[in-house]
Amino acid sequence: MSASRPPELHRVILLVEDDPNDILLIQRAFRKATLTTVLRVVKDGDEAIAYLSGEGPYRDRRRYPLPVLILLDLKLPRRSGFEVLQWLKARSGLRRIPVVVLTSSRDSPDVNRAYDLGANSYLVKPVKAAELEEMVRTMSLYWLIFNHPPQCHE
Amino acid sequence: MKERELADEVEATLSRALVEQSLVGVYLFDERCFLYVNQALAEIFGYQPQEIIGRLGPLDLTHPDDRPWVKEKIRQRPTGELESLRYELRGLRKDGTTLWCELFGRRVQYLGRPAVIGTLVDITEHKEAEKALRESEEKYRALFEASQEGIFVIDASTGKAVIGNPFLARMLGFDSPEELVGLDPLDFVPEEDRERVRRIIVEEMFEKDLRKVHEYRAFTRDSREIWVSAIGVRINYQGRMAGLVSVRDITERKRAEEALRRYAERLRILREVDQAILQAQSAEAIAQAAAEHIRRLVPCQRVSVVLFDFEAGETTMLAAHVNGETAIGRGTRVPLSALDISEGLRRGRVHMVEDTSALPDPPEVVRRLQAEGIRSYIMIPLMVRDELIGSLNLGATEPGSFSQEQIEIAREVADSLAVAIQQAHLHEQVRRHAEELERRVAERTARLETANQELEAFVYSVSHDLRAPLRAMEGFAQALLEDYADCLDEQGRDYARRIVAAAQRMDGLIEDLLQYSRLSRMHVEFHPVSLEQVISSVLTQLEGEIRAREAEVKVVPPFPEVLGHRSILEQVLGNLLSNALKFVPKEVRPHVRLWAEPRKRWVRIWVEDNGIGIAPEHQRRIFRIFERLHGVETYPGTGIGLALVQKGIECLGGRCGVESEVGKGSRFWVELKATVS
Repeated sequence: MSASRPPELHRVILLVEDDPNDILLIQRAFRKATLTTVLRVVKDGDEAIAYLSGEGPYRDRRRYPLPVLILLDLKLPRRSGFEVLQWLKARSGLRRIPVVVLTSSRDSPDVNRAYDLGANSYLVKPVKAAELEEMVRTMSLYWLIFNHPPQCHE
Repeated sequence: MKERELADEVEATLSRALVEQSLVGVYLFDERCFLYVNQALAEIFGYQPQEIIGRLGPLDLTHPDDRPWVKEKIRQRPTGELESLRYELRGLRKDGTTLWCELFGRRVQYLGRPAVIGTLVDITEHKEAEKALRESEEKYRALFEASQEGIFVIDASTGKAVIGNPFLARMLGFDSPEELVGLDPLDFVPEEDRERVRRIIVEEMFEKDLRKVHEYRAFTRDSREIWVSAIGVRINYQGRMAGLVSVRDITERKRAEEALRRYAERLRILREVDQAILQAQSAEAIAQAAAEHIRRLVPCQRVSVVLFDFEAGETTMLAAHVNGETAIGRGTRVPLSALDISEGLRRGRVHMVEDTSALPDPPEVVRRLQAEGIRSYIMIPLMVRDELIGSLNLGATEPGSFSQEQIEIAREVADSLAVAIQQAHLHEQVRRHAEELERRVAERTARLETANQELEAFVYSVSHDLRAPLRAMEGFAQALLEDYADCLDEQGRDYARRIVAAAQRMDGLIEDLLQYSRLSRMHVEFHPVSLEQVISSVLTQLEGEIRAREAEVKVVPPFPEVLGHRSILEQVLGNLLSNALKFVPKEVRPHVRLWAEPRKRWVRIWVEDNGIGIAPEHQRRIFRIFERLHGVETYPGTGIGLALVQKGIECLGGRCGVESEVGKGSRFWVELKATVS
């Protein structure tokens, strides 16, 4: 990565989410949070893995750079969020990428399992839009501004 | 001449000396009186010689009772009838006492006249001794004769009886004791015992004089069998070694013992049968045990136990115990018609056939039995509550083999057997029933578990799937409100707001429902909980609400430790506190007070508020699910809060309630178990 580009502009958050409503609402939340990060969305587990592996269209790392944060829903068609997590944490270069599970289930078995598999954080999607905005703002602030990112590669 | 004179002199002197000095009384008398008595004789009678000589006659010295016949004796001598006499008589002393003498008298001629010369000895002592002996003998003889035990004496060298008493004679079937003399005791003992008895007589009695009691079987003269108990003592009998044997007839006792033994054996075997029964084995095992046992009590060649099935019209042989081979053994099934089931048998009477060859038209089974040599048999009914369920059959090769006593015994076994078989059947039924029940219970439990699991899965997916559209509803309505506010008029904005509110309420409902269902399904494990920690956690959760309403919450210690479940308690107290903050009149600041009241083994936690109060008629309703006393506009809520409280407290084994009046605030309480202090 060249040092000429301002680092913030090219920071990508990968959102792995299948529900189109949730996608819209989360995108809106990010907009309202006025962050300069770019949100890339993939709609199922297979696509998520393709993105992270750099397969197909995602080979173009200029358009689709590796994310600095992954927002992962658990209920996905085809491969589940847990499987994506498992896959990710098995890849030596990729496993350092912080993963925030963002899902509707607040069941403790899911929570514990996510942490067991190496998730960095677990958030439950709130019903209230205002709460969602607050959550997105605070989360981004924490993970993108305060948190020191690791070095990752494919 | 001189020699002769000398001899005569010596003779005379000697004679005189002899006579004078003799310790034996010497006398001479004629028909008048004593002519001469020596010192000894005088002394015997307590006289001096001179008092007798010439003065007294023989009769004076004789006891008055004996005088008549002594007189006769005297007469006989001088007259020549008797030459000499020796006899005994009672004498009379000078002092009048009686004595016994033995005298010898001889007729002589003295100075030309007939006289008697003789000797006399005092035999009083001797006589007395004789009398004593005789009396003693009589005494012993009386005992001997009268004894109710047989007594005999057996000579050691001949081995034969030398004397026996009348009782023994009678015992052995003799008429008189004399017949016993010279008999050999071994002749009365059965041949196989003779060697043993001989050894007892010779070794134990004659050699060692052990004096041990033994029991013997014996035969009387008329070949009756008796039992005796005898003990022998070595004695000296008439100068020879002998044995004195005392014999008792114990036939009666032995017979009684035998009967008792038989009876005890019978009882023991019956008990064994009963024990086999108590072990409640299969009916076959019980029947087999009974069949084996009864053969020890009633000798026969064949025992069988048969069960009757009147409905199916057939019989099953449950068990058979047979000498040798049989064509009709265990497990044989035979139609009822082939058997001989009389009306009497049905009513519980024993059916006996003394001789099968005497039957005019025997049923098939009997013919088969005959072919195997059975000539007589008895069928004992097995009765259960007056119903015939089968029979215990005994068969013998000899006709008329079964006595009344044996039939009784067989009946006793049959009664136990009937009960046992019935019990075994019942046991079997019960066992099968129990198995069936267990199976059904297991099935039902499995189904319940499946239902439970399905419910859990349902609840899980509900919470996921219902929430997603909710988020969309809320989110987009809100987005509308925020991003397109200027495109909407007030009405439009109002609609959007209502959508948001509805979505939020539905979320609340789902959450409460989920909690309620989770509580119902939970396996609650109690542990000690610090109320202070719970309260502080609840206050933190409600901090925003408290601040927004400017409420005053007073927490009054102390709060004892309780037995419960932390998260449930947080829910319960959280709900109560939330209600206390919510249900206040408009514009009133909520004042809430929390304290704990120890009540023996329980702790009652009070949550007091200054709210709107609850009318008595509603105080039970409000704890029910979905019950609300106000419209959702006035006081928001799902109507589950208090239901959750009640369910939660129930799970913890406690109670809850409220004290309230309209307009006067409420005091809600929950009761929990105190931890053992």
